[in-house]
Amino acid sequence: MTLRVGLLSTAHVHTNGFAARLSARADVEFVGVTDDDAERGREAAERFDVAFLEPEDLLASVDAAVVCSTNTTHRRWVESAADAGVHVLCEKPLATSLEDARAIVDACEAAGVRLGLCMPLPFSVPAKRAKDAYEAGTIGDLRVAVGTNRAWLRDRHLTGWSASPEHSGGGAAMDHTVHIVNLVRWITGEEVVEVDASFSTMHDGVDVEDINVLSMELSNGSIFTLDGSWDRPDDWDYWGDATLNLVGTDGELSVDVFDQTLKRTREGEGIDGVYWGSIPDDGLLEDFVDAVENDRSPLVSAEDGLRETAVVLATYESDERGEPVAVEY
Amino acid sequence: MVRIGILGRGFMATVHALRYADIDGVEVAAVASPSGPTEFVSEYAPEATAYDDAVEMYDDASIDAVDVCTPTHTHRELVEPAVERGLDVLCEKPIERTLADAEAMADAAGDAGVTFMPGHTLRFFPEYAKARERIREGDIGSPGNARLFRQSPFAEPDTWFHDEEKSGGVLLDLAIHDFDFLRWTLGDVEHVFARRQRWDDHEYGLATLRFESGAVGHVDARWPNRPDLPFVTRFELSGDDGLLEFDSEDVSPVEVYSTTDEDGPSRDPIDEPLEKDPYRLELEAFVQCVRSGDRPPITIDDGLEALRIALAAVESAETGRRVAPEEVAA
Repeated sequence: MTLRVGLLSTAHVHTNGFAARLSARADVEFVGVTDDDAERGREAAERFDVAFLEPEDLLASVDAAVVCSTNTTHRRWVESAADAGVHVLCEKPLATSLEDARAIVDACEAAGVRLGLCMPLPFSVPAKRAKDAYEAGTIGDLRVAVGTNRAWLRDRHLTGWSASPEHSGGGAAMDHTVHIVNLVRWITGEEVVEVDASFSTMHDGVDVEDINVLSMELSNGSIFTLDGSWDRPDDWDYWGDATLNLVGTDGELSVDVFDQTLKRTREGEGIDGVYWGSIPDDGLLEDFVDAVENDRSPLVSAEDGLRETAVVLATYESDERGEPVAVEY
Repeated sequence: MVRIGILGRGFMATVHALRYADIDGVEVAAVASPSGPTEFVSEYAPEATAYDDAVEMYDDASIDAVDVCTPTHTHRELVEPAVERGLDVLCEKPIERTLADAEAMADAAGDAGVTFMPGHTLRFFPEYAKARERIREGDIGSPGNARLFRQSPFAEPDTWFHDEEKSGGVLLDLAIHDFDFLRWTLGDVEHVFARRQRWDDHEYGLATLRFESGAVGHVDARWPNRPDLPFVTRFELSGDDGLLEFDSEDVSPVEVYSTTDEDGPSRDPIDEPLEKDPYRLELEAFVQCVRSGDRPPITIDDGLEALRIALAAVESAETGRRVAPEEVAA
C-alpha cells in the first residue's frame, strides 16, 4: 500500500530533510505542500517538485501529513488534519501550552487518527542499545541521570523563528528539553515529577533564554539534570550533541548519540564532524508509516508529547517563580 | 529463495551465517567443512545440511551460491569446482594465497560466467565509505598522504593465520583491508616498500606506498598475540585542502560499566551500533547480484589488484627493495 503524504507548513528547519525522505520512499506518495505563507510554500513545492495546494485541498488528498510549522501553530494544523481524518507526524514540542497539547490529544482521539512526534532519538541505534542494556538490568536501580542536548545558536535560531517567542513559544528550553526527557522516559519508564530551571541569556540580540540548565526529580526519586542550551560556539565541531549518562545501583551506562563522526579539517573553515552512523530520521519515518498502516501508536505518541510539553511548561514556571515546581500533567 | 552453501565453520562463517538468517529471501541451505560442521549447523544454520566435502555439497545440495569462509590457501581448489557447476561465489579476502592460484581461479570464474565477489568488507564500513565519499566530493582537495592503522589481536595461539604458507602473514591477511580501501579511494599503486617483525607469535608489518597519483600511503598492520589489547582501526587522510580523521578508540556511542555483567557492549567491528552492520550490507549486496546477475560492487579484478599490492608488500619485506604490484610474479 502506498501512503499519500503532504506537508502542513514549510516553516521548520527540518522541512527539507523530511521532504527528501518522503520523496525517497517507495511506499510513500509525496502529494504536495501547503503553507500560511504562500510564497514560502510555493518555493518549497517547487524545490521538492510537488504541488502547492490550499490546506483543505491538500488534506482532502492525503492519508497522512507532516506538520512542519512554527511551534505555536501546531494545534491549528493538527486539528484541521484530524477533522479531515488525516494522520499526523508533528514536529516537537507537541504544543506551547498545556491547553493546546490536551486539545491536540483529544482531537486525534475523537477523529481516530494517529499522531506521532518528530523525535528521532529513540531511533538512534546507540540509544536502542542503551535501552536494551538498561532493560537487561545491567545498571540495577536507577539513581542518577545526566543529559546534554546543546546546539549552535547560529543558523536555525538566529535566522529562523525558533528564538522568536510568538512563533516558538520560548527559547532553548522550549526547543531542547523534550529530546532528552523523552529518552529518559523511554529508556527508564520514569516520569519527571519536579523541575528547577536555571535560564540565562548570554548572546547579544537574543530575546529568549539561550542557556537552559534543568534540575529534575524522577518518579522513582532519582535525580536528573539536563543542559539543553544553545551555547555551542560557531566553531564547535558539530551542530550540537545528545548525550545521556544513567547511574544505577549496579553500574552505569552512557550514550552519545552522535559520536559516530569523522573529524574533518578544511583549510580556512576549521574543524567539524562528519556523521557516519545510521540515520535516526529514517527509522522515525519508517515507524510512522508502519504505525498508520497497522493502526497502532507511533513509538513517540501524542500522549508522550503531552507529558513532555508539561515538563517544558514547568521549566518556564520554575524560572518565573524562582523555585522548583511540580510538573502538572 | 536464494540458497547459500557456506564453506568453513570458523569465525567468519559464523558472522555470515548469523546475518543470512536476518535477510529475507535467503537461506543457508548447506555447510561444508572437512572437520565436520554438524555442531556449527545446529547452532547457526539449523535448516542447513552438513557436509564433510565441498564438492559433494555442490552436487547434492540444491544451492545457488557458495560463500567461501575457509583459510586463504584453500580458495582455488574449492572455487574451481563450484564455478564449473555454475555456482556464484562470495570469497573471503585475500582471494588466494598466491597470484598464480588467484589468476587461475579468476579465469575459471570468468569462463563459467558466474558472479564472483571478493569479500573486501571494509568497503561496507560506513566510516570508511563516508571518508571515500567526502574525498570524492573534494573535502580534502587533492589527496597527498594516507595513514592507516589496524590492530587485530589474536584470540588464540597457533591458528592457520600463524602459518605463513597458508595465510601470507599480517601483510597479506590483515593489511590487505587497507590496501584495498586505499586503491579504491586513491587509485592504483606505483610501488610498495614494507618491513616486518615477527617474534613469539606476534607479527607487525609496516608498509609505505606510492600511488600513481603521487600520493603516499602508510599502512601499519598489527597482529599482537595479546588478547588483552583492543581491536583498533584508525585513518588520517590528508590533502592540500583538508584532513579526515578516524580512530575507533574515540568512538564509543554506548558505554556500560556493570557490576553484574563483566562484558558490556564491545568495540568489536562486528558489533558496531548500526542499523545494518557492514557484514550484513556485504551479504545483501552479494545476494542482490546472485538474484539479478548484476556486476558485483567489488569485482574479481579488485580482488586480484588488492592481492598484488599485498604480495608486493610481502616480497618487499623479504627482499628489502621497493616492489611494484605489476612486478609480482604469478
